[in-house]
Amino acid sequence: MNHLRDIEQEVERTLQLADSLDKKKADPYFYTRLKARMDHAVAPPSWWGALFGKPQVKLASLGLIVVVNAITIYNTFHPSMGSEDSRSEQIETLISDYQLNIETYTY
Amino acid sequence: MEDNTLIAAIQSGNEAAFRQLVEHHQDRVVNTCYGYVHDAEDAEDLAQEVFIEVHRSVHQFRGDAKLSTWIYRIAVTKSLDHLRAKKRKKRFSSLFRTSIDDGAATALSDGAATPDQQLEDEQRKQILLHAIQQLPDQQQTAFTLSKYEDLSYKEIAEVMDTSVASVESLLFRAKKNLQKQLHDYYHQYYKKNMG
Repeated sequence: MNHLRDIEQEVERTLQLADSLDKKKADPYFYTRLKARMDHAVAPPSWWGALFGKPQVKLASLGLIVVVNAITIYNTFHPSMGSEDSRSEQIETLISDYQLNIETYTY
Repeated sequence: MEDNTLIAAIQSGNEAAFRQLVEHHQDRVVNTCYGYVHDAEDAEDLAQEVFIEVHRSVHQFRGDAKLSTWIYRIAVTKSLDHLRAKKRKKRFSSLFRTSIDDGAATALSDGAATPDQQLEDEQRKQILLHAIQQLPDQQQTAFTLSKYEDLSYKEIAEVMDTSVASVESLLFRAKKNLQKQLHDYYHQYYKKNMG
């Protein structure tokens, strides 16, 4: 019972503090800081920012990325007709370069 | 300068008029933002954002509401957005939080070791501030404008674009919610520390 009464008292004490919450005032240099921030925010963007800030350029860049990715994926899963031959040639070259076709024996 | 004259001057690009508006409202805006974020630096930063927004959208001000009401609305929106962003970040950084977070828990456990009444009140205040931040947005706004800015129910209703009866109801529910949160918190605390 004491325990419950303690809790109630603690809740009441805490809630009473809502009537004496700290108030804050603006810093004396508030306007100076605000003005500096506003001036900085309206500074002209660099040519890079100005170019890529345009929605048309953003869309075109996105489209280009999608197309390049689509081509890469397509080529990965659908290799061209001649690629099988060229791969065999590469393997043969590797075999002869590293002399992998010479029989070796382990003792 | 009258509100309408001041707004017209700002709309025509008069910097002195904008400065006058800022200097007239800056304390209220900083205090309102502080009521939400409970951090002086964040409050000042938010207040700057509020005035930047005021400057940007001053052409849209039609004079339907009082200038101070309009500025309060922007301050409330910015503060709530800030708190939402902070909560999102917190969710990522910590998955295990109770309704009142670890900071408050530390405050109270430290408080048990210090007999100093002032310090205990400061720690209770921290617990209360954490609890206020857990209130639903509408309740938090009504509570903050009432306790920090001492606005009347009518003024709060104007800022929140609602009726006086709704404000009364919001404040009543806010107090009930705070009571419940604090009760749960202290109950857990006593259970943990007193066996």
